[in-house]
Amino acid sequence: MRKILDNLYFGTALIGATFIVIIGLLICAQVLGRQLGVQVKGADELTAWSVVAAGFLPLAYTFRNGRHIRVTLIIEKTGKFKIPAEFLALSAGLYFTGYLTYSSIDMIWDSIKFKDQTQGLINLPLWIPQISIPIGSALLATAMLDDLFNLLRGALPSYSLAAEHEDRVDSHTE
Amino acid sequence: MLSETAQVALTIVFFLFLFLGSGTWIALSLLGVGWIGLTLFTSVPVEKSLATSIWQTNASWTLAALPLFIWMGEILFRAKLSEILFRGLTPWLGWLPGRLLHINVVGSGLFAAVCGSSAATCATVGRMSLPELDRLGYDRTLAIGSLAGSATLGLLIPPSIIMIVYGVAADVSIVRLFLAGVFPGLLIMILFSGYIVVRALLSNTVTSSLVEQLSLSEKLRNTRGLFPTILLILGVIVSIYAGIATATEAAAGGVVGALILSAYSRTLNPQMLTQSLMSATQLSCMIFFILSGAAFLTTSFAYLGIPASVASWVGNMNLHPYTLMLALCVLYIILGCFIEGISMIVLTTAVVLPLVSQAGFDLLWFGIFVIIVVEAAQITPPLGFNLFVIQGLTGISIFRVARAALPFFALLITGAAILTIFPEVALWLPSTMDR
Repeated sequence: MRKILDNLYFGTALIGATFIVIIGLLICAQVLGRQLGVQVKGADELTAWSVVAAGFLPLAYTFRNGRHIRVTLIIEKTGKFKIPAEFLALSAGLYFTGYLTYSSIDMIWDSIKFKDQTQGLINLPLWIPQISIPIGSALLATAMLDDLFNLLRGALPSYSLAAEHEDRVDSHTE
Repeated sequence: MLSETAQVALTIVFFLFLFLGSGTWIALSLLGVGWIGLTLFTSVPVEKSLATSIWQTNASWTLAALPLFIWMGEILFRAKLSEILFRGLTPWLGWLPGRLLHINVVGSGLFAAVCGSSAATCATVGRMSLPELDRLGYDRTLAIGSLAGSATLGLLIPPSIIMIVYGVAADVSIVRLFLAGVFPGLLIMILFSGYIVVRALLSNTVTSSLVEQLSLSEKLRNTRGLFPTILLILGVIVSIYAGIATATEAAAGGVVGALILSAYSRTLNPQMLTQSLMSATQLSCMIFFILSGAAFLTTSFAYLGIPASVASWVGNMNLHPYTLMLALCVLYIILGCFIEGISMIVLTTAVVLPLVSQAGFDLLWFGIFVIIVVEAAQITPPLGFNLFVIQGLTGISIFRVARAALPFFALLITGAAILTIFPEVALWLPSTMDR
């Protein structure tokens, strides 16, 4: 079970990473195409949809590596109450992630029900580019549930273990 | 007696601090506060607006620049540029009072021009410069302080990740933001270097007396390594300025350039490529998630009418525009003690931007102003990423690093003040594009 989940988190992150490469290739193709006087049909839309996939598919993997940021000022000082404090933070996180999953499935359902089509040069059912939002959120919710079980067993959650091991230097935006 | 909007605003602020303080992830805290606002005070169907607002924000061609610039930075971060920068720059700094102390300022300025983040700038430049300056006997406090201060230029000198985030949140052109950052970046470099010169002239213990004598041909040979980097900088900026490329296209070109540069420095291999890509994937995923939470919070604020009422409330106080900027500056510095720059920007734009434009400020100008203030917040404890990076490099506690950085904090605030009095510093370069 552990192995299946880990592969699932990593696999979806890998697909997300592939979409970043696809974005790069699409844009290079557009630039080259312009030099040669060829228009790459629909590249703008494909890029925008790839951004959504690149942003949402790696959510769970990023979470487990402790790369989603949060304010740890107080939670670091909880001492022996660390596990209950993490439990609260994770429960709040899981609730809102669950709600996001519900809301995005609702959006997909609406797109299918009303037979929405994408606008522009490429005509697809709208739910296809939208689908990475519920997939990514559902996986994030799974990863959070995964860590809640860890906490109940008295173990530290994945993200705080990862944060201790990693070289923090290259992990921040600022 | 509190008005209804004030009650709503207070409830929102209360839950915001509750979630953030409890250690709930920032993106989810923003989302949660938006959800609470809409559920408690409106009858808007929340599940309909949540996913839709996230879809609309993220499915954006402009945002594609973000993962690409991050990837470019991750590649260059692994391309061992620090040694090249150090060797290439040192021969040319000997004539300035303070000599090699300027390496942090100039090195950070150069690296910031290929990288959009200040922690990466700090680590790349500091890895080489701090041990070397120590070895040669330069003043340690000044070396650390100037590194902490200068590395924040990663935010201001284009390309800049935080500018893309501001541009998307404030609906300001990213190309124009990039161009507006160029001269304020140079201004701050001059302020920093000027301070080092003054310190070196006032006391002779600051500078080391050890000077390496190199012939002109040796100097040129050492500098040759810098040219690919400079070419990449010029390629990104000039293509944007000349209107040849949009920010997104320049980002794709930047990735290609960074790959060529790392092949040239023999650091390109499959392992480095995967590592840089996976790191970039997670970093951009984190930022996209925060942007998503903020997008929904903005939608929620709009339903609740908060931006409009705050704008009219502050408008009625008839503040002088400079007083307003001072107040915002203080607000951001305080916020910066608890949350990092990007979250700070997306969290406040919905409320602050209407205020700022009502007071007659250009939102393009305000972007640069706020980024300089965020830079200053970057080197204040307890939360300042550059302080953490330098602590990691040297083992000195963040509070001592922060004290060393204090003069540079003051210089950044001075820079923000100069920018407020002379907005042209930022606005001139983008205005020449309109001709």
